[in-house]
Amino acid sequence: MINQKNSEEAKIDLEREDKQQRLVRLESVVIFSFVAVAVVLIYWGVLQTGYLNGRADNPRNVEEALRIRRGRIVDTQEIVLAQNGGTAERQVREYPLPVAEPVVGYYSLRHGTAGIEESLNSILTGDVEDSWQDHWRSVLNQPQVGQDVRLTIDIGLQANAVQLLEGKRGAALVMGMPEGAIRVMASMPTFDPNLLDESFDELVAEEDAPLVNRAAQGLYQPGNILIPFLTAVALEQQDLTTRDVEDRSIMIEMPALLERRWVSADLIGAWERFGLDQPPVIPLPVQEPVALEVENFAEAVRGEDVFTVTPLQVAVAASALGNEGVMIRPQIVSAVQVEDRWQAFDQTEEALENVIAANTAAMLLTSLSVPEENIVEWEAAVRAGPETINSWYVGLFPATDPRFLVVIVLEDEPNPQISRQIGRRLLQLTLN
Amino acid sequence: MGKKIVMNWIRQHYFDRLQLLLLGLAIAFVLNTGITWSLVSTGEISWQVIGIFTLWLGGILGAFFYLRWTRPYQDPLLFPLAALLMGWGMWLVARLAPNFMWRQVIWVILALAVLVVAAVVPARFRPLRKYPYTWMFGGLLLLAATLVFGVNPSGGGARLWLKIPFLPVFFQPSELLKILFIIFLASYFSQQESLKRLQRPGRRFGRLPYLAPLFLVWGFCVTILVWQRDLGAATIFFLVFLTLVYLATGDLQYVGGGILLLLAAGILAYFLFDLVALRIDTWINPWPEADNRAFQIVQSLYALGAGGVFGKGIGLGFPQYIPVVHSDFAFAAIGEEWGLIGTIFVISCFMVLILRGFRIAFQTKWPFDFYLAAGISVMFFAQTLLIMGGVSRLLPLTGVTLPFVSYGGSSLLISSLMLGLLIYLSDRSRREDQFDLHD
Repeated sequence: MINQKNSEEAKIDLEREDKQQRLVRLESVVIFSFVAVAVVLIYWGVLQTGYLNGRADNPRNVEEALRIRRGRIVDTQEIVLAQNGGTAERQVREYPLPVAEPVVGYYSLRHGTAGIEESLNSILTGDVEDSWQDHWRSVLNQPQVGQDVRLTIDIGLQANAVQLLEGKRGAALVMGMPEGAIRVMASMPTFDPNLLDESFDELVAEEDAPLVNRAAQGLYQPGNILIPFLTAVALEQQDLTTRDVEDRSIMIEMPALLERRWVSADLIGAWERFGLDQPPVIPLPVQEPVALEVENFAEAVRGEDVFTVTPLQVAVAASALGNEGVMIRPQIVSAVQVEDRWQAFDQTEEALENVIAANTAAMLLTSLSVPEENIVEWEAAVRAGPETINSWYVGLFPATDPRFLVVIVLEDEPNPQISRQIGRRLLQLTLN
Repeated sequence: MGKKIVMNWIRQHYFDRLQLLLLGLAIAFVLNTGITWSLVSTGEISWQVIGIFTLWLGGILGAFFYLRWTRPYQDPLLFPLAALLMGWGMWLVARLAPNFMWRQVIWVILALAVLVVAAVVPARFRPLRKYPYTWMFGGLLLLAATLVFGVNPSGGGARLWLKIPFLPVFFQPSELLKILFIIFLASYFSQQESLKRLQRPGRRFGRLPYLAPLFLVWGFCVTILVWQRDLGAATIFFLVFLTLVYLATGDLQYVGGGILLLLAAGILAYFLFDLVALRIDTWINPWPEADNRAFQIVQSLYALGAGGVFGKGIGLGFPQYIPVVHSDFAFAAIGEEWGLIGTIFVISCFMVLILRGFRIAFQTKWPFDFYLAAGISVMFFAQTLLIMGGVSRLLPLTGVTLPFVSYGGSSLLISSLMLGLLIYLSDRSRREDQFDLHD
């Protein structure tokens, strides 16, 4: 009996040992499984975060973007042109002065960005290069805060320009000299960026293309507006004598003269010299220049061939005449706010290009000046299509040692007098 | 003998301290989470949050002290873990589905009551052990009732709930079936064990006692799968059964065969049921259908990716983009707002809970207790693994809740019931250790 009981107990003990062993194996399965889950979690949470967060269909991107406190855009006197409103979770971009639109552009989650909003996006959104800082911010879950940007634009003057262009299609540019600060960049027709999301489809469909900033992105046949530049080059190549350029008559005589004395290569060389094959260096979306090509030489000399330019390119080229032959680099952004103080916006330090000799430039200034107005100016009417004639105007003031440069282009305006009126009025307003 | 008394005293003393410390940490964490949530959502510490926390704290402390008094030898880790997970889950529901917040608070209080009852009342489970078939049959009847009267409180989807008459409350019989299933198996295997012990040496029973129920349970799970489309429950029941067979026999052939049967059922289901096909397809490659059929799992992965290591902080992420985040995807929400630190902490909590469960099973003196403790632990394991693996795409997605954390009354009550039983078992085996002194 005792024996039997002992063997029974021994059996139970044996079973206990078996069970313990099985439990230990089971424990390993549990630990292994949970470690596998942890490894997969590390895979998604560490190794694949870039992929997951970067996917376009991740709704968090929109949510994050809605929380970014974008920097303000202000004019040269710190009048606010763009700022953020709305709630902490749902920031809304506001444009208190829509006349600044061609420069400021727009920022829309649905339709992207344009203008300064596009070109300085990373500064305005506060994307920092230091990824540790960014990491720390995301660890603390602080909203991304962008930096303010100060433009060279004078919003009062800009409003005047918009008023002068009212009802027309075209562009107006005013540039300070010799520093190159762009005071006005107007483009007509324009639109209210506050209403962009509601009206985007109509804006895209509209024939007049209000979304295009004509001053920096509009391509126009130059017509005779390039004549002073061509003349300067021809003078330096000694294809002309100083007597050929004594007065304003160059604007009328020069095309025929150059047609006789030049070949296509000379023309292309002259364009190249004034940098018309390069996009202006400016922190703003600009139109890529067209190829320097001549299809019909006679028309090309008169600027009515396939070669086209933007008003901004013309302004940069014209600045060489008023700046002793050195082309000025245009500026649109004067400063960026870094921790509550303005820091000058650093542009490229590349040396400015000396395109013509100082005395050549002076000579042309003299021949194109209107002494009673103390102004240097020239204008052009250009056949841009079978039915359309555009007009250009370039003015520099004062005639000696100019401090302001204005460029006007009007579409479908055969009378260059109108361009001149607008340009002169704008120069007057700039001086006041 | 004297040495054993001293050792027991030291251990008890140490355990008491440890338990208090852990509970204190759990309370601190839940309080901190509640305050943070309140500040994030309303900018102030709202009365609502204070009220919820007070209710939880009252429930926790009441249950804790009562259990300490009635079950002094209980495992020190289980209760603080459950308290922590319940508190965490409560804020998670408040954050993810504010409409359900008060309901969840009430469920938590009820669950604590169930936990205490389960830990205190069972007098060796006599009625449970005596009538295993009756209980199981009752459970199956309830389940069958859902086939006829089943509803889904949220409208569409699988109809796994029964409406409780006169109350705005729904109950999920498959949750109740979980514990009945474990009790049934524990009862069955312990009976087999005593039968085996009686057998004369040399005579073999053969495999019939395990093979027959294997097919029976498989058939039962397939039925659940086919009729209810409840992929998660079917898998969990089958895994629990297989593990208990393994613990009883140590024979891996059963496990291998069982897994083959499971795979066979899975493959069949893949071709027969759209839901299963969807889950498998989106598990293998969710990306082509990220905004369509695989939306849920992809959003879950986005949540994990957005959370990174440290998480966004409660209320600061966007887990709401995951459909039904508050029940099936609570773990992904933790991944987004508490990051890897949070998810790995949750994994650790469940791992500790399950391993303690195995330890309790090992310490039990009676076969029934052994299978009960092991079965409960395996149930927790299967459930947590399926949902944590599911939301992280380690496994195909099956809609089960994360015990204690997810929203859902039935799940919370049954999880608490199972944990209460574990606490009871841990107390009893160590109490019996004490009795050993007098042998």
